[in-house]
Amino acid sequence: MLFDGPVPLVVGIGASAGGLNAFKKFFANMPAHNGMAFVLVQHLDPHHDSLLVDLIGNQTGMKVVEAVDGMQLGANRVFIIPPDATLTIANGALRLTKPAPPRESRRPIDTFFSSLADDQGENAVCIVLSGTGSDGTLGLKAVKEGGGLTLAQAEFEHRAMSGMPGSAAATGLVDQVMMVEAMPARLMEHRAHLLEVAGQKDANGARTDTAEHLKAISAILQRGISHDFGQYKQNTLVRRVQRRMQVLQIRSVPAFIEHLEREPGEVDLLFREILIGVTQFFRDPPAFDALLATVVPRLLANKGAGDHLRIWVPGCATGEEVYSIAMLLKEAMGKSANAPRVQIFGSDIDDRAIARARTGRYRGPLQGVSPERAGRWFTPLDDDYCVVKDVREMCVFSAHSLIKDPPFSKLHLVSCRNVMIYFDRDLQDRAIRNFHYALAPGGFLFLGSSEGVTRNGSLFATIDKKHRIYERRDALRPMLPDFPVGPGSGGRQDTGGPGRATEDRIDKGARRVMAKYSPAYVVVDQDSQILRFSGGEVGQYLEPSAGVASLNLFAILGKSLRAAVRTAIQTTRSKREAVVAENLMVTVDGQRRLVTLIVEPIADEGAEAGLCLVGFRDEGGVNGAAGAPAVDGAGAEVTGTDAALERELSVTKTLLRGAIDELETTTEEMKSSNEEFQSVNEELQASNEELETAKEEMQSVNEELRTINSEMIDKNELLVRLNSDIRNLLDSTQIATIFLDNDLRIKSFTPGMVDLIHLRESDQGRPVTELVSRLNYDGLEEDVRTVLRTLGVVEREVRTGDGGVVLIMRIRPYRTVTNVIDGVVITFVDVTARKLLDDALKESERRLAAIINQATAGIIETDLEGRITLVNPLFCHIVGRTEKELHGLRMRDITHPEDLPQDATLFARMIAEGVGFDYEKRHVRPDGSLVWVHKSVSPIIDANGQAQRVLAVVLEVTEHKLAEAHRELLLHELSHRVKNTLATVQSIAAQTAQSAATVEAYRNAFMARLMALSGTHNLLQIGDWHGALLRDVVLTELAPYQTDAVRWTIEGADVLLEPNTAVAFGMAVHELTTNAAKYGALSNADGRVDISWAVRTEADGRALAFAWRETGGPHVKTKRRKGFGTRLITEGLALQLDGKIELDFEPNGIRCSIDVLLPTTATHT
Amino acid sequence: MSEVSTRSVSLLAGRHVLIVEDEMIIAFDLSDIVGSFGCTSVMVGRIGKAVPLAATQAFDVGILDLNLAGEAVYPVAEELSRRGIPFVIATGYGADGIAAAYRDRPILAKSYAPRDVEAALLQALKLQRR
Repeated sequence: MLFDGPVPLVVGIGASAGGLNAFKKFFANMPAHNGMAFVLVQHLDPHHDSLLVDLIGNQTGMKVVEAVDGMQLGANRVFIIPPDATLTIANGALRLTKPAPPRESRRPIDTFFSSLADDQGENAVCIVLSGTGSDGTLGLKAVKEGGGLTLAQAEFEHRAMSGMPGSAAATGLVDQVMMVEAMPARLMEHRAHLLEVAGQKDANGARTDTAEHLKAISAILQRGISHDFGQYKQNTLVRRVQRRMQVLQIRSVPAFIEHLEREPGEVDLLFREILIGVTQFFRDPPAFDALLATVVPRLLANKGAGDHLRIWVPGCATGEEVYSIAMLLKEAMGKSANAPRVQIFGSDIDDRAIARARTGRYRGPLQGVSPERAGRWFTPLDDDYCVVKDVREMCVFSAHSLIKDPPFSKLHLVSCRNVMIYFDRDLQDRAIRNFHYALAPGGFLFLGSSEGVTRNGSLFATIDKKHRIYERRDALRPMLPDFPVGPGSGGRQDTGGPGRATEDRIDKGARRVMAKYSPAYVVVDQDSQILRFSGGEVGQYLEPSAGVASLNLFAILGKSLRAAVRTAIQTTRSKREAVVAENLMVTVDGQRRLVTLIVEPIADEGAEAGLCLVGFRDEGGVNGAAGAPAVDGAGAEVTGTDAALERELSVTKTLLRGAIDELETTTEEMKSSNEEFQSVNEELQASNEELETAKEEMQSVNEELRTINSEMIDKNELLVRLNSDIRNLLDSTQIATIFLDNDLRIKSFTPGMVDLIHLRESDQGRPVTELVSRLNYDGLEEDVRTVLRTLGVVEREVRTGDGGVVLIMRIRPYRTVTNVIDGVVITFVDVTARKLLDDALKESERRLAAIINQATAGIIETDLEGRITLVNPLFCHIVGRTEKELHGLRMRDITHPEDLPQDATLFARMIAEGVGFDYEKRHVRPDGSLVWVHKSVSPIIDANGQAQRVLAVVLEVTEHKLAEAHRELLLHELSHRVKNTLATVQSIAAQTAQSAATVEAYRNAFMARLMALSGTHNLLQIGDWHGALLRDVVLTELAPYQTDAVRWTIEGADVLLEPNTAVAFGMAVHELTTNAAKYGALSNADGRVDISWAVRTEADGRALAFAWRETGGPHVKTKRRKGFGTRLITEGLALQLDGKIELDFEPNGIRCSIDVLLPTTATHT
Repeated sequence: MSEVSTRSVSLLAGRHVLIVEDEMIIAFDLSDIVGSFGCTSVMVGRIGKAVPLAATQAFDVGILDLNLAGEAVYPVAEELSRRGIPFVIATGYGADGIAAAYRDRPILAKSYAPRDVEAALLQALKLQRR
């Protein structure tokens, strides 16, 4: 078995995102023993180990391995691309290169498929499974071209998925779009089919049984689509037919022919199959380089802007070659303004391909185009690239058959690469001659690498042999080959020259006929071009005309024979049978001879159809006597009737000859007209092409204009509305407005102006100075001129003539939208009412100012933040600051800190409630002194009821306040003093009670002590409670015992005792005095008391040394009970006064010394 | 004196009282009054002497006249407070004149009867007991 050998059917499978699922489904349906090798190519992360081998291994019984360089492919095995590698195949073995190219140029599926197509040809199968992008598409093309089977994954039904399968299917080159589950079965059938037909193939893989049927297939194609592939290379056709058979699973050629006849669609499919062209941008770059180096400069030489450069690319398929040449030229011409107008005609018989070429849109990435070129000549659109407009406009595409249709003409370059390789040699020759005809003198021919003009060396000179560039030779007159007019008018289109391939057959046919007759003959084609001469004797019947040499039978045939031959040939062609016209009278070499004319078609059908043999058999010379009279019309043997007939015939012949000549001339003209028409037609086609483009552009321009128009309509509406708005504005503002131009002529005005200047509509255009104005204002013209000169604004107060109305007039320059000064605008605003109000207001302000300044209270106004906005002189006086100092200060800046919280609270409440208040507070003067004021504060409310400012009327109350404080202090002190005094009295009562033996004694002692206290208080009261003189205190106590005799002495400076000390001394002296009166120096007539004191200054204040000394009294009894007096002096004084107290009961009199510090401050205890 | 209840006597008896009063007659009277409750007492009339006493001597309770020769008695009150010795404040001004820190102390308003003194002392001491 062939496929169980070293070269199994090789199935390349490409996938990307979502591929794993598809792989699993595929292998789940694939039997393990299938005789195929599978190569899986997936887009893999180069840095990540793939688990694909294990995952696929679980799905199939086949051996699954990761591909290794040099690994031989084997049947029933699965090979998987490793990460970060490029996989190819060569000679049935895998080739692995690492690392993979950078991501942007990584197309592993395309790479593998392409190598698969090269290596395996028909033996290759490629399957494009799920994935994003377009990888696989180009490779699939290659596999298809190589004769392999191409499949793509369907999403559902028979529609391709988006992404990779979609991209592949879009090429139209996928044999079948199908669900992945169905693919294994399809592959098995395909393999079975290949195996079955393998035996019928020759060494090149072409089926041996196909060739013989090609003629039939060609005929069907010709009938169906009017294209004759009879002269296409047999091998090419065989391969293409085989491929269709493979796809259709048809095993025998006759069955395929049957299918072809039964299914009209199949004819089209086969046609497309045959037409598959592999083309790309700048295919074979060195050839393009050569073209650029050798041909392009010469094409552009001596051509200016007015010239045309015409280029034809027949068989252009989807147009890549056309655009390549266009780009090449565009680059060569650069931005030269003097560049000729370039027209490149792309033609192909495949109208679908032409339609795609016209769109100029190609699926990326672009093959063969450098990034520079891609950026310069293409615009990206989604995944596609669109040829830029400049390049597209150079190119014209039309469906056109190189074989069937007349060629383009006056061309400077024909690029026909890899088209003729599909033709057989005759067709190639014809194509080359077509090109020769089509090219202008000196034009170039650019062919594919395996094509050439070697057999037409006389037509073209070689310029670059390697890259197949040729220049047209001008040696021969270019001949327009004949082309059949209209479809179906026969396939044989050989030109005037003998085609060697058909020579044998023609000779054979001629010989076959000549076997019967053997006269002199010529063979002509259906256009009466002579293809064969029999030689020798035929010359006597020919009579070449003057002028251009021609092989047209009727151009060189003897005139006497032309009518008869023409009739005979026409009869032969119409009836398809031989015509023999006997005994024709012919003048040969000046002699009249009888000739039998034989016309017979050589073949009824096929390539030779329409060929006729024209033979001339000499039947011998005509009798001179018989001949001459016939000509002369005086033959003796000829009867009268005959003679008349002869004459008539002769005349008729003459007439006929004339008619024939005329007809021939006309035919010639028709032919040349036809040529011209064909050229014109081709031009018209091109024009039509351009017109279509132009039409599209016009449509889009039209669309744009329509859009602009609708925008303009909107804008217009807007303007109308604005205009009406402005009119309403001017009418409603009551501002009289007038527009003047630069010459003071009225342009327009508002109704209000009529009252000021006597204006009518008809006054527009009149100078404003001519009109009568009610205004008491003469300087208008001058002011307007000033405005126009300075472009400033003039503003004046003007009055009407009677002075009753006051107006503010403003003159401004009138600026147009483009900021051009075009006259002036004058507006008048009636301010009479405002003026009156203004005057009233000023009067009112003056009054207010007088009131404020002369008020007897301080007045201050602040804003809501307390900033001082207004003060009157009295307020300034109260707070001791000038008005200038106060402005800018805040109320809190001149308020006593302790009053701030109260201020804030009251202030906030007033603003919230809008009601004023009265209160007293302290201001601080700059010298730090305080001022008590009474303030009456009220808010100033605006129209909205919102407080805006605060006004306060301020009266100074410092004196009043101080007096009040003093009074309160006094009351407080009085209460305290009364309570203290009562407490003292209470204590005295209690103490006295302890020492009194009887109520009588108690009353006396208590009253005496009370009186002593009262006496001291009297002294203090006299001294306003500041204190009492020590002398007075002492004298007050001694006074009750005053007699005529001197009983005591008092020595000492005046010492003012503060009240407490005075009271304490008063009580002590009282006790000493009462004791002296009862028991001591004052109890008899002789005793006396010496009292003295001195004041000295010590470190901590003044000290008082007081001494009481009794003498002359009764003998003092010692160890008496310690009475109240003693306790008071020894303990009490020490307690109350800070000092040393001594009380001695000496026998001759009591002595008491009191040495104390005097308190410095007056106290109120 | 005669009005003093037995229970009060037993409560106040034996207490040592610091009397700070610059008015000598009043000081004598206070001393006699607390003596009648069975208390002993020390009299002092000036701040300069009262503070060292209050800081060092042992007392059960104090009677402090607010104003001592023009000086407030607070330094003495502070010392007693520091030592946790209760006291009453004697004043003729009423509670308004007393610094906030001592307003919660019992007040002996001048002029007073012995039972006022007793009640104030009991109040001070009961506060202490709590």
